[in-house]
Amino acid sequence: MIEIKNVRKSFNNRPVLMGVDFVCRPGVVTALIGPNSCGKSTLLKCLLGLVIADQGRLAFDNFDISQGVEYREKLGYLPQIVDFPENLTVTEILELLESLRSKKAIKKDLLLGQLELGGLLNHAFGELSGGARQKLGAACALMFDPDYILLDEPTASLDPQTALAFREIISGQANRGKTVLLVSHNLSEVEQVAQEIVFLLEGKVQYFGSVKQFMNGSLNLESALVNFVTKRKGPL
Amino acid sequence: MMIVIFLSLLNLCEFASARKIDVCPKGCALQTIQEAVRVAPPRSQVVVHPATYLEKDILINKPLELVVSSQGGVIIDAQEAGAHFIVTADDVTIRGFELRNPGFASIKDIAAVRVRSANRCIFANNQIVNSTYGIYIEKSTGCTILDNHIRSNRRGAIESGSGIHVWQSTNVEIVRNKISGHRDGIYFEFVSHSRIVENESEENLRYGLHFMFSNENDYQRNTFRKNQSGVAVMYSKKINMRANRFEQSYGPASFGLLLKDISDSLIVGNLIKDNTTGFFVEGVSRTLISDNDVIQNGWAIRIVSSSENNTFISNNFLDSTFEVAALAGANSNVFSGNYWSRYEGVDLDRNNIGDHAHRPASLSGVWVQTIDGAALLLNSFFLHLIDLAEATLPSLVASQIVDEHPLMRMRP
Amino acid sequence: MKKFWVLLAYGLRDQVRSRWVLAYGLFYFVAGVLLLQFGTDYRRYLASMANVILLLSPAVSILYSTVHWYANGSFRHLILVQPVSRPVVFFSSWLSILVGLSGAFVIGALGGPVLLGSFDARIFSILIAGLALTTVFSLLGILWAVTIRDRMKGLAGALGTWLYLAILHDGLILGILMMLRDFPMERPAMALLALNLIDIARLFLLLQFDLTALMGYTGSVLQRMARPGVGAAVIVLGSLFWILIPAIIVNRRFQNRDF
Repeated sequence: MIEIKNVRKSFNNRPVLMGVDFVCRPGVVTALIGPNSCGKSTLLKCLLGLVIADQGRLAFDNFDISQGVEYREKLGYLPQIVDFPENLTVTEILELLESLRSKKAIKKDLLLGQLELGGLLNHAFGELSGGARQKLGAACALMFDPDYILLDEPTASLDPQTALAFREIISGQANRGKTVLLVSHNLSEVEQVAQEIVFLLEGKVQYFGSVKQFMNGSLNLESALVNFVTKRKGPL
Repeated sequence: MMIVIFLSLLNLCEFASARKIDVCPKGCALQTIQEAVRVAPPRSQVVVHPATYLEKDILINKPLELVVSSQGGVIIDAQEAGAHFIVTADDVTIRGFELRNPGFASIKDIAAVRVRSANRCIFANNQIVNSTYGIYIEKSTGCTILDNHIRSNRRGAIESGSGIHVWQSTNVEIVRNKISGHRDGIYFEFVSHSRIVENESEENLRYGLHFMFSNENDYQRNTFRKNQSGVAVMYSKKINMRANRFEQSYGPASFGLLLKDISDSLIVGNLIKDNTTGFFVEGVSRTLISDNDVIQNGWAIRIVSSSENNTFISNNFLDSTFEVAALAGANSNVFSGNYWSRYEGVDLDRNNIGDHAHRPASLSGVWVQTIDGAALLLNSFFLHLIDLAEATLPSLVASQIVDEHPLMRMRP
Repeated sequence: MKKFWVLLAYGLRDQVRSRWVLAYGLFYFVAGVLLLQFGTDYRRYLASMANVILLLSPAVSILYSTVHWYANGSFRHLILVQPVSRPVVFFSSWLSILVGLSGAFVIGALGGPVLLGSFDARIFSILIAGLALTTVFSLLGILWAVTIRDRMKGLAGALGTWLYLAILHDGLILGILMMLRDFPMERPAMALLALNLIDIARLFLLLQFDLTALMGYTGSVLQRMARPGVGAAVIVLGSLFWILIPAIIVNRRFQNRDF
């Protein structure tokens, strides 16, 4: 379980997160949605340890991230754009990440097959296509069979077919009892894979709950979101 | 006729037998040199046998030849109490001695060999050790100082004197001596028509060779090394300086060749290498400086006050940090046909003369010379940029020193 | 600590294959060969090489490390997300840049003399100076990249730093000396120069190669530096200072920075 409690963060006195609370439960895909600059990526970076929160609690199964970096042993992260040193080969990148963890990359071979990366192992990262890079990123995120999976717009730069495969993988992970947090702009994707959503706006959680409840009979997530915002009568 | 021959033969016999006097501590009739010199008739020969003689102030007031029976073993130790020899007569020869520890007193100018008003003296093959003054000649004509080795280890210019000091004399010949550790290696004051040839003057505290008010002299093929300054020629005229080496004079006030208020001289074919300043030129006129190799000096030439009508021609100026630094205003010196390693021009007509003039005086050279601490900026990019700016815009150059015909290749 | 060596090893693998690092080493190699082949004597080779290194190694080190640090930003984020502490990431990244540049420099600078059989121990002075400059300027480049988020501004900062230390600092000192020319200024000038590692390296090389008899013109301060061992000690201490202070600052910034 990932626990986020009263998290606050300002950049240069400009508040970005103003007391954010929610939890991500195991076996569930939790989607974090909201417009640009609502604080989504800042929150994600707080969880990853890239941004240091001013206040509040960020905990992975009761391990507060301020206590150290050990929680990252069980963390898989797929960024929006995957970037490695151009001159390292795929094999070297995988080896590098393996040697930074105490766990074995038990899913490596499986994922390489699934993502059709087997033929690219000796290619330098600089030679890979955008899609192949993203697949490599996914392999890196999942090969340690992590308990927590954080995904930042994982399909944004993918062709529809690969995106579909990615979604299947995401759902599969949740079904296996993993805790998944998905940051996405793509509401239909969220509708497909997520069971719970966190709607973040102006640094605050506007909605946290099940997707079904949020949709409440709406045609799709997008119209539900419009309804929600209109009802709230707040500025969007 | 017969009588003349007979008389001269007689003369010779007398010279060979009766006029030879031996000195040794044991077994000779005479045990001290002092005694031998006193009793020796004029124009006789005193032969000193190997031993150490503790003697001083040996007065030679008649023509006499002092020699040693074998080179190297005859030591006279004056125990820093006085001179070894005081020569007051003409035609005295002193040959082959090792003279140790002459006295020193700054006012009395005590030397190992003191010559007063004595003509045609000869000092050859002597060694003088630990001297304040080595050989001191005054008011004498025609003396020859040959193959002596004069070294001092006294430190401090005040208590130290010259290796060879000549005052008010003429026709002195100083040849193949080695001199080190004095204030000046060789010092001339009011001396004329003299020659200094093939000497080595090293590690002296002031100058390797120093001329004051001494005209019409000649020095050639000498080596001046690691002196505070190599040679200083001051207040003199008609000095001929050829084929000497001036090397390794380092220091804020160190020069290979220091010229001050001199005129009508020749400086030809010398090697001036590794000095902080190669030529220091102050108040010099009508002097020809040609065919010299001026190599790896801080400044090849520094000209500090009005020097006129000098000609610098056919010299090689190699690898100077600064070629010329001139503080003089109007300049009537001629620079022509020299090789400057800093010249970067081209020679399209291939006549071995650069197609445009070379300006060897740089702004940075003047700064380093006149601003305390600026030498610390040597070789910095800032100074390189200043030089570059100067090269691109010659109008920036304050100095008028120009070589209109710079050589493209070194003069061999 | 194991993670540190792992990151360093992979960082180096990346550096070794970098075209820029290769070109940098190759430049020194070619420069060395040309200077030895067409120069007249070894002394001039050393002098020219010293000039090239004083100009180039700070410039390349500071610019390359800045550019490289920005370019590898997203990879560094990925590493920071791994179970690795920030100081380990920082020092391994810096050292991989440093070792890459230094390796290219040392191999390139030694290559010519070794190949042409004109190797001389004096070249070690050049290596010491070049390594000191590479170390410090790579760190200063990272200082800019870590401090300024905008890469153009950061790069401008790095360029400005180099421009100042390589040229303007000396110009400023000369200006001060000119204004105060009536005072004994050698010691203050030396103190001001000591603030700049390029100046320390320059004086060190001047003295080592006795590049110029003019050094006799400067007074006691520099003469002291000319004694055997003293010059090397000064440059090592100077660079230690220049390494320690920025390293502490950069590490602290890196530690508390939001990415």
